Formats: sequence, C-alpha cells, structure tokens
Amino acid sequence: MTKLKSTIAIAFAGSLLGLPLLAGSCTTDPTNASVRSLERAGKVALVCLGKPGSDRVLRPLSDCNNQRRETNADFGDGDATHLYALITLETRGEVAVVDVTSKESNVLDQDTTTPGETSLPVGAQPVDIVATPKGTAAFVASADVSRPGLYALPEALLRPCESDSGRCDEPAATISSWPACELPSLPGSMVMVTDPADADGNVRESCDSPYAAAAEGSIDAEGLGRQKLYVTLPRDGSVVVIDAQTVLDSPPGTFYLCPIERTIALSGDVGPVEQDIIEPEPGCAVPDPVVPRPAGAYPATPAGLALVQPVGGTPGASGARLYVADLTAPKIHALDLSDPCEPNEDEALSLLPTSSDDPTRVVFTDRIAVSGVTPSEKRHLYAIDFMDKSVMAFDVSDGVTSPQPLRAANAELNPFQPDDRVRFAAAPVDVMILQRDDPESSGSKVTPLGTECDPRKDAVLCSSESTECDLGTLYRPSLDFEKGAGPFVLRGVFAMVALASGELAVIDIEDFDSPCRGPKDDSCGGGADDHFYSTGEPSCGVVIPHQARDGTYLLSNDDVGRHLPGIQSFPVLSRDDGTVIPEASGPSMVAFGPDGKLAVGGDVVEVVAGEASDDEGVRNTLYLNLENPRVHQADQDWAVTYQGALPGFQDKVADLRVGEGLFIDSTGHFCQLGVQSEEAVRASLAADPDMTPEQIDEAATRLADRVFIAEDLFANDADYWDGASCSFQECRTAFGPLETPKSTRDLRIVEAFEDRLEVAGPDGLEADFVECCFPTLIDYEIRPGDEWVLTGSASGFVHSTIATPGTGECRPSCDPRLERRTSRVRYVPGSDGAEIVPFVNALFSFGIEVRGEPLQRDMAFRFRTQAAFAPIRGQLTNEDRLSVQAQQIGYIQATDEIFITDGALEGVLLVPGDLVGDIRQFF
Amino acid sequence: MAARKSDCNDLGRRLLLPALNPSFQSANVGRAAWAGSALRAAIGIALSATAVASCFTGSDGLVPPTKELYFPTSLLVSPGRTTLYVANSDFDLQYNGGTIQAINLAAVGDQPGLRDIARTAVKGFAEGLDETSLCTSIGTVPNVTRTLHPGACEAIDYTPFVQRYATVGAFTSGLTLVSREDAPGARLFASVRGDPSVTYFDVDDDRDPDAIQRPCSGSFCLECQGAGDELRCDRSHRVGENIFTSQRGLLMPTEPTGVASQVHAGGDAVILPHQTSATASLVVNQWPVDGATTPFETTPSLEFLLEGLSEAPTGVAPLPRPAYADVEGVSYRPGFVISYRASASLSVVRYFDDAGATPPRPFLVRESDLAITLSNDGSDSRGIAFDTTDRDACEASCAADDTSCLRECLDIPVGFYLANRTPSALLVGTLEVEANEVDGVVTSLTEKLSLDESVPMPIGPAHVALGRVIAENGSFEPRVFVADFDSRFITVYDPRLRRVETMIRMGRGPSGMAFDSGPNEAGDLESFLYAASFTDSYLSIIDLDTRNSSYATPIVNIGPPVAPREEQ
Repeated sequence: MTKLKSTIAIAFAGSLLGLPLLAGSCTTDPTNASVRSLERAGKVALVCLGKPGSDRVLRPLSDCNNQRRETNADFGDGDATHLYALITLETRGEVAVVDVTSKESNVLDQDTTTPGETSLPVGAQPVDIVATPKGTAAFVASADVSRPGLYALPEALLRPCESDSGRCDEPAATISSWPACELPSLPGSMVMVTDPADADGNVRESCDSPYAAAAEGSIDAEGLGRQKLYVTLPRDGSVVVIDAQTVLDSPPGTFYLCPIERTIALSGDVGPVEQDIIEPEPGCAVPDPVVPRPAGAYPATPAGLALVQPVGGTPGASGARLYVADLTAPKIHALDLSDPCEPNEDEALSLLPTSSDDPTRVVFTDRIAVSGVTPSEKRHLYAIDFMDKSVMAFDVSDGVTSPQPLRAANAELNPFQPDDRVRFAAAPVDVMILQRDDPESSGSKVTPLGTECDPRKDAVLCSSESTECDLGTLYRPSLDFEKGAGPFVLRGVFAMVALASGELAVIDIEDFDSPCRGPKDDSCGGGADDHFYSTGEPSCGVVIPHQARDGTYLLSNDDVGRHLPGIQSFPVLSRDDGTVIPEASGPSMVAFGPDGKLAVGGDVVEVVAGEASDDEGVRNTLYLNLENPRVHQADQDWAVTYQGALPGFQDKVADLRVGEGLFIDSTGHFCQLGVQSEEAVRASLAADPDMTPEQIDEAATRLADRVFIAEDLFANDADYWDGASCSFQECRTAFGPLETPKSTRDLRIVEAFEDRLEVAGPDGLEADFVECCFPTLIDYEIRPGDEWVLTGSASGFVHSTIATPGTGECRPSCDPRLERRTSRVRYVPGSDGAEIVPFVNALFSFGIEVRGEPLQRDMAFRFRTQAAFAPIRGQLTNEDRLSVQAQQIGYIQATDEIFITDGALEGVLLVPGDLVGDIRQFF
Repeated sequence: MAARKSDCNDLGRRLLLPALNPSFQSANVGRAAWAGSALRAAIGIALSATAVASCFTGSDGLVPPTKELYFPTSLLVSPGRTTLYVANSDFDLQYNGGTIQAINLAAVGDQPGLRDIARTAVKGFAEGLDETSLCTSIGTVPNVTRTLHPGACEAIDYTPFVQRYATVGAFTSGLTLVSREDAPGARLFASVRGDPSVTYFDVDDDRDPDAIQRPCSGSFCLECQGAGDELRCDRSHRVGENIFTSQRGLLMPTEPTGVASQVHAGGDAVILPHQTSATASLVVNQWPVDGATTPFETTPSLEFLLEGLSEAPTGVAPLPRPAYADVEGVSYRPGFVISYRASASLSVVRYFDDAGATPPRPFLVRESDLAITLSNDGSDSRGIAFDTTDRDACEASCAADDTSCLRECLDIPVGFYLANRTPSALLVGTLEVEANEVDGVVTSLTEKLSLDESVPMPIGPAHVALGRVIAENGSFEPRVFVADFDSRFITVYDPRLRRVETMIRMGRGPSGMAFDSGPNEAGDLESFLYAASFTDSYLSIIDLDTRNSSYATPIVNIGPPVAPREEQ
C-alpha cells in the first residue's frame, strides 16, 4: 500500500475561535502498515505517458487528466494516459517512479526480487531532475562528492514489468543502465530550455551545428525544438549548457565528461540600490542608511532557477529568460536566452533583493518562482529570503525597470510586517505561483479566464435567456455566502509557499474576486453603487496584492461565523489588587474616531461619540483599526496600565552608580525594549509650537520612564550592615520594603542608551547613601512616568525605539512606516480636569479620560481581542502524519493538484488546487 | 546493583548539616536574598541527588574495563591534537562506574597514534590497494560485518592506544576542556549524570605541542587523584557533591545532561543543564594562585543554580566570544545557549563573575529566550554548534591592537546550528553581535540569535558539531556534522551551499564526534573525524579530505565492536 488519502485541514493561523465553516476535519482512511519506500523525497519531474509499446507513448502533460485508472497497467482502450512523478530520493541516491493516475500500487517496483518497492538507482545525492516536455527522457543531476554527474533515464526504462509487460524479462536497472556523464563540479538546480526549431522544423544538434532534420526516436522528435540542460554549478559560480540528447546518447555504463556547450560565469557585480530617504525630525532617530556595496564584491553561488519560456519561439528569439537565485550575492541573475546557445547575463534585468526594514542587511535568495503573464498583463517573480523567513515579490513584467522588491502601500497600517515582503514564523522552504480559475456558464456563455467579479448595482445579470450580460456577476457572493467571491474560491493568481511547519501559505497576487470583497459603501473609492453586491466586509484591505490571503470572511454573522476582529467583552478597569472600578466612578476609556461599529463578544455594537452602551450603561470602549486587518495577528489579552512595568526586564540585574548618575546593564537592551528618557520626551515636544519651554520641561520630567529598584534590602541581621556606613533601618525608612515601596525607589531616566541609563537620584538622598543601601548589582523594573502603557500577552510592548546611529541615544525611529508602533497612552493633566489625548496605533484607537478615582500605579484597563486575522494555512499534517518537511512544491495543471515532497518519510503529497478536499499521499 | 553504604552515610550527614556558614550570607548582594532558599533547595536536592548517587557510583561491584570502550558518549581532541579524550558511560550499569580515557593521536615510542593509522589507511585508499592489502597495512583484515559496522576493514584493537584512564560515575554526558589563559594549564571537565557531578581532571596543556605542560609525572595526564586499580576519581575532583566546597552551600541537581565552558579572567565558567529540574548549574573554575585563602579561589566550585528554566534543558554551548570583547572599555558578559527537550525554545544565559563584590559570588542571568517556530513542533533539541569560520578569518587578519579592524569583524554573522528531533531536522540560523554605543564609542557587546531554516535530517539527530574538511584547493572549509543516532548516519551539511553534502553510514548509535584537523609534519592540511558508535562501543575514523576517494567514509574502526549484553 503506498497511497494514503486524508483530508486537508485549512487552518486559520491566529484564530482561537471555533473551526470556520470550511475547515476540513482531519479524518484519515485506514492505512496498511508498509515499508516506506520514499525516503527523503526531493525534487520531482512529471511525465505523461501512454500505454507501453503503443504508438502514442510519449505525450505532453496536457494529455493527462485527473481520471483515475484501476491499476498501473490499466490503459483503458489503449489510448489512456498515466501521469508519473519521478522523485529523487536523496538518502538512497535513487529516483522513484510514482504513478499518480493509478488507484493502487502507485510506487512502481523496479526490482521485484527485493522486498518493498524499489526505485531506480542513480548517483548519490540526486539534487534535481527534469524531464522533456513529452517524456522521452528524464535527467538527474547527482551531487555525489566523488562522482558529480548527469544521468539520463530513457522513457523505455522508467516503467517496470508491473506496468510494462514487455519488460518482464529484463533485469532490474542498475546505475550502469543509464547514459551518464561527469560534471566538472557539484551540480545544483537544473532546468530544460528549448532551443527552438527553425521554420522548417529543423534543429541544431549542438550549438555549433547547422540546422538539420530531427532524428527519429530522439528528444527532437517531440517536435518542440532541441532541448538544452541548464545546470548550475554552485561552487564554480556558473551555469553550464549541455545538450540533453547528447547526454542521452552516451553509452550506458560510461562516465565521460559532459560535453559543455556554453558556460555562463555569473557576475557578482551588484549595483547600487534605491534607498528610502527617511527625513530627520525632532525627537526621532534616522536608522542607519544602506552602506554602498562595492561592485564585484560578492562571489556568485547559483541556487534556485525560474524559467520564462514562452511557447512558439523562433531561432534567436526564443523569448526565454532564466532567473538564477544566489546564495552569496544579493542579486537574482537574469539570463537572456533569446538564443539558448548564446546566453548572456543581462544586468539590466537582474533583480536586487533588499530589505526595507533593515536596509543594511545583505539579502540572499534560495528558491524562486516566476508567474506566467497574468490577465492584467503582469509577470511576477517570488523569491525566498532564507535568512529572514520571508518571501519577496518582484514585478518582472516587460518594461518594468525597478529591480527591487515590490512595496506595499500604506505600510504604516501594518507595522508588524515589512512593506516589501511577507514574513512567516515558520521557515519558507519553497514557493510556486499558480493561476487557477473556475469558469462559470450561463446559457451559451462561459466566463473567459480571468473574469473579475462584478459587484456593480447596474451590472446586467446573466441568465440562460440573456444575450448580453456582465459575466462577472456570476461570481458575486450569494446572500448566504455559500457561493461566489470568498476566501476559499482561489480564482486568480496566487503564490503558494511551503513552510517547514507542514503548512501551505497563500499570498494574493491577482484575485479575480477581489472587486467583490469589501464594504458596500464608497469608503474604498468609487460610488456606493459600484460596490452594491460586495461582501460587506468593513475593510478595503481584505485582499491586498502580495500579502497573505485571508482565510475567513471579515464578518460576524450567522452564515460565516464570528470573524470580524473585535473584543470579547468591554474593557474593565481595575486596581493592582484586582478591585474593579466602575465606569462611572473612575477613569474611562473612550473610542477615538467617527461613529462606527465594534464587535463585542461576537455581536456588533454601535459606537456613538466614542461611547458604547449595553445593559449596564456606558462602557469603556475602543475601536479596532481594520484598514489592514492583518495587523490583528493573534487573539490575546491586553492591558492598558498606568505606570505599568515594561516587559523584558524580568530577571535582569544592573549596576547602580548613583554618584555617576549611571545605571548599567550590558544586557539591558534598553532601546530595543522601548525605554523613553526625559531627553527623548523633551526632544519630541521641542517642535510643538503650542508648548513653552517650561511646559516642555514639566512634561519631560513627568513622562520620563523610571528605574524602579526591585531589590530588597539585606536582612536586618545580615553581616553586611556591621561594616556598612548606613543601617538597615535607615535604608528601610528611606526606601521602604519591596512590598510597600516608597517613591525613592524610582529613579528618573534622564537619558537612555542600549546598555546604560543616565538616571537622576532620588530627591533628598545622597548618592553614597543609596549605594550603601543597594551596594552591588540589583534587580529592577522600568516603568513609565505619568502615562499608561499598552501591552499584549502576545504582542508585548510595541514601539519603534532604536538606538540613534552614532550617538546611541534611545529615540523613536523617524521611519514613517513605524509611526503606528506606539503603546504609550497619555493625557494632559489640568486644573480644570484632564484632557484626553487620542491614542491611535496600528491596532486600536481610543483615549483615556482621567477623572474620578485617583490614578494608581498598575491600575489597568483589561480586555481580550478575538477573531484575529486568519491567513489561509493548508495543513499538510494530521494525526497520522505528524510532520511534513516540505522539499519542493509544484502545481500539476492537468489534475489541478499541488505536489509537495517530504524530506523525511512521508513521500509525496498531492493537495487539491483550492486546498479543500482529500490529500493523496504516496510513500 | 548494590548500593554503596558510604553513600548512604553521606546522605545522613548531609541531612544533619547545620545552616550555612554565616559568612557566606554577607556578600553578593544582588543575590543575597536567594541564599536561604538555595539552602533549602540544596538540601532537598541532596535527598534525590544522593539517592541517585548511591545507585550509580561506588567502589563495590565490577570495576569498569579501563582500557576498553563501553558505551562511549563523548569525544574531545586536545587543542594541540596530541590526545583524544573518550568518555565511556557504563550505560547498562554493568560496572560500578564509567571511564575517561586519554588516547594518543600521535605516535608514542613504537606505538603509533590513531592519526598515524588514519594516514596509512588514506594512503592505501589513494593507492588503490585491494582490501586485503589495505587492511593488512593497518594491521587487520577485511571487514565481514560491514553492514553493521561500515568500513573496509575490521576494527583494530583499541587497548594499545589507551595511555591513561580514570574511573568516574556512570553516565558521563559530556566533556569540555578549559585552557588557562594567563599561564600553562588545562582542565578537562566531565558532566557525570550518575553522581551527579562535574568531575574534573588536570590534563596536559598541549597548546604548544613542542612544549607540553604536564601536571603529572609522565605524559597524557588525567589527574583526578584517582585511587585503586581503576583510578577512581577522588571526591575532591567531583564538583557538586559537597556543599562545603560551594560558597552558597549548593549541591548539584540531578541529571547534568551536557557541559560547556568559557574561559574568563574572573574565573572560567562551566555550565551544565539539568534535564529533570529545569535548572542550569554554574561551576566556576579557578586556577591555583599565590595567596589564595579559600578553596573557591584555587579549584572549581559550584557557584550558582539558575532555576526556572523551561522544561528539560538538555544541551548547552558557549556563545563564541568576539575578539572585540577584549578591547579595553568594552563590557561583554560570556554567554551560553541552552536547548530543551520539552520546550520549543532556546535560552541565552549570561555569566556574571560578580567581580565587584567581596567575595565575588558568580551567578547566571537568563537574558532572553528564542522561540523555535520554524517547524510544526520544534521541541526536543539536542546538540548546538556555531560556525565562526568567517569571523575568525576576519579577526585573524587584524592586528591585535587594530580595534577598528576588529570592530568590522563584528558585522560578520556567525552560523548557528541546532539538532532538533521533532521533526528530525538541522535548524540553521545566525548569531549576530550587537555593539552598543554611547557617543560613537562601543561600550558593550551583546548577541542576538535567530533561526531561519530547517533542513530535514534522518531520524534521531542527537549531536551536531562543526568540523573542517579539506576542499579541492587544499584549504579548510567548514561543514556541519550531525550524528543521527537512530538512523546510523552522520549527515554532512555544507553551510555555504546550504544543503546536505553527503551522508556517512555509521555503526549503531553514532554519538560523540571530535575533529583532528590541522597541518601534518610536512605542513599540508589533514582532517579526520573520530566518531563514537555508542551501541556497539567502538570508534571510527572518517577521512575529511574531499580530494580523496575515501572522503566521508569510515577508513578505520577501532574496537572491536561489541553488541550490548542484552543482545548477546
């Protein structure tokens, strides 16, 4: 038994609510225990073949479909096809042939004399495999340290006796059965590039040969031109061109040097990159600029390949282009293959991976994928930034000149993701781009590929009788959301990323249904009638190109469940001891912004003039910002705490030198943890024309963070006091015990650096006395001055503070993309009552009205958010398949399935193209 | 196994101990409040620790085979490449202890060293000798059990290579060697789960192989005041068993599952994670100095227990110290990274020597944690390794006083590797140094760990180590070696190409690995890997010269292999 069928579970990262409607269960069909024959599956090549011995054995992939056959020898009336996945097995140095069309015995047993399903032996460390378009042969690159080479697997030797009765008398293949040749260096990735035939159908046998008629039985006879193998040699920094037929013609058992027709030495030259100009402003720090990179400073180490190969090229104008990722140069090389025999690296088309949130980082890439031309005439390339657990998107459409990653608009709305990549918690392993559609018909009309959903009120509906209609109306969401535009209708162009966590992530590139996702009003532009039949989701950012695709409707109703980000219940104010302070008698929280709605406990309540009410009257409330719903990353507990301790300092110790005004902890990371000094406040307020210098000084002193000495005094009877210049009682009187501390334990932070603070000693106490009471390293906390801080149980304390380059002071970053990374909630005290200062960060909008109960340290508004943004995650694991370590991801157009190979023992998985339904597994 | 009476008596004495010497309570200040609870914890721990000790350590029962391998767990090559230290664990408790052995790598008189045997084998492979001739050249015969014990030839005899030995408690889980910074001197520390203790040895300082400093008469010193024929280490060399040798009156918790060290001017730090108590021990090694008045000033002592770690800490490794840390005015706390068996996270702990206190009482601070989110589980991490090749090369190119040059080297990230079992993978990341500045002057250094990639491994990765192979051009290149215990492979990962280069089929239970890389007498580079096969108790030598046909194969086995008794 080599096939296992299970149902893919579409998970929604971050959601802690009940399972969404379409989440599949993790049921698994009974499995027969068997020896797993696919160990450390790596790369895959697909071939579509007809009945062995027939005159239509070699078939294009488009001849295969998703019709299953009873056995691997079942070819129906003789014209049926089987689709085979040729899979490299890296531990064993073999290639497995898996018949994905058959209902049983899928892994073909190449040697029935040995137990289990045996595979085809090739060289050790088979790192890549490609096949000719019609399956004449497959080619394997072996990175055997002592015998690097290429092995050609002719079609005739792929299928053993069980599939090809004509081979029952043949001995099992050995490594000597294959035409093979030796490479000068360890190979890496490999692609097959077509050298087009001329107008008469002639091909050139080598790059230096004249065009001549294609030989019968050769790869040329597939009629698609001459096939060239482009093989990367990572250690040499080059790509070599080898004629595939020449390799196939090598006498089996020999291992001569591969005839290399062309060598492309990749250039490590990297030109300058475009830099963000971040303007300095008062009170903030400009991050380090990009250090110019000298040309030629990087060695080239080719990695993943992505081929653009249009159909129908002509000699010298194949239209092909090859992108080459690089492990050691911040560059994706572009090779112009107009003439595949005269490839050249085109610097103008090369791409420059960069990182907008860390411009100094040198970005390397591993796996890459390129799309076809999309319905909007675009072409995109995706690349994995393997040192950042992220993927970048590049626009490689004709005429586009920017070599750097695409940037998201309004980056400040989601400061938790960089604006030029999608970053994951798990490591992205491989990426592919697929284009899918789901044609609808009405009468004689069928929607063409790429038809966009049409939500316009005045669009003409289609019916069986209509002669003219707007076909896009066929994709409108139904009233019950069972049909039409929605998160699981993967109609469009998407990037799929295989994660090391055993999940598939989906990134929107062109969602054909996106016009129907969003509010029904004019808030996203256009008139309200233009969105009349939209889903009504209250965000214009439900679908954003090159960002993670939502796994739910951004709605809360009986049809789709509760997926509108909101709070579990209204915020409650309580003291440190847990005593609740009713809204009427204490400080209160009010929503900031125009009248709107808030999801509370699954219900949607109206917020008017910043207030929301329920049976108990006016409640503390706030808004959740939904411009980019991805900002709500996790359901979590939140606290807005007056003078609350900043997280991250627990268990740390520091050297208090009051005499020098210093507080030193080389592991403190004070800037990274968001410390705000008096000078930082002063600098930020300096530009406020409405404040006098005295007011600024007062505010700076009042708002500056404090070091709280969290160290207890030595015990009264400790020997230490015998020789000390201070006494236990004096110290206790001055500072109080830790349980009931005095304000003298607070040291105002005048200036902050990454590893030290400049502090003001407690008023009225001599430095020597303080140091005598706390003579060596001390435990401490950092607490804000007269303000509140917002902390999340998952998000922590969100801020933009960095160490100012060169001088080191902790300051908020001047980067405008980070302006919503803030968690300090202020108010303005006044004799006539406190003034509310609006607080707007990436997630929330509110203000705190200070009145009634006096403020106390650790008084806090507490609430819990729910229905966080839930990006689609296709779960490859289940209770029987505890982990999947993806090695390669690819799309089988013929069967609308995604294949994923597993680096352990799970073999290959075939996942439905829309991620809904059964997973087929072969091992 | 019979319990040892004296150990039981030890237990009684420990329970009757008075309160700590008051003088110990007067100092350290930052940690003073902790002392009382530490004592209570220590006494509690004493109960369990001594109970364990009575099971695994003692002089009754069978003496372990002192010149044979017996479930080897850990190997270590001395800095000068003269000695291979081997820890045998007595895993099935057939004996009353495990052993530590010193093996000669170079010839001693007429006795060739292991490296000599390896060279002979490599030469034989290069010359294309037939197997009989090849095996004859190293004094053995062709291997007829190569499926179980891969290698062309049967194992040669191990016994002649054992130059010294000592007996320790059962279950040695790791070895680390500390070389004295300001003078000649070297100490070997073994984490012994059965005691539990860190047993230490004064060993040859062979940093200058031409002027080896020996702390004993003769060579290959393994000095632990051993007694009896088996040279069982004296209690004074078993750190953590005696509260009177600890300033804080501490006893070592049970199950020290690893050991790592950092040389430091204020006392070398030796760290041990304890799998069953979510604790890390700090042993501080001091060297004999004139004028010392307490044992703590001259010998290793247990100084601190860092409690409250995540569940089941198992692995520990030192954060590689950048050369810039030694620049005057730059503060740098030696750090260690701890991995866990039951938690998908890592912890960075820092060593504080407490130099400002009188007397100093060093301690550890848990600086930060790193969640392992690369894969769908991420718990059960084992070995840890760093690749400092590029940074080392940069620092080597700088003059010692060229601080700006050394400053630039800080920008070179260090490779970071972690063996993880759920799923079986090598996790790949980086260690980056952060230079903290005040007005443009670097005042301190800290480090940041990150994990970025997950590379599937065969089932059961247990150890990871960084070694050097010899590349086509004759120079060293780094490789990451992962011992896959369950699946009998050592997987070789190429950090530059970011892929598995090759997989070496080993005997059962590959565990400890040690590298013997450097120039030979002619100045040409050579590199060998010594690998322990835990289950069948033998060693293999792997050729690490990529130019050789024998690259990445076991060229010599040393043993002979012996199956566990339960299989016999």
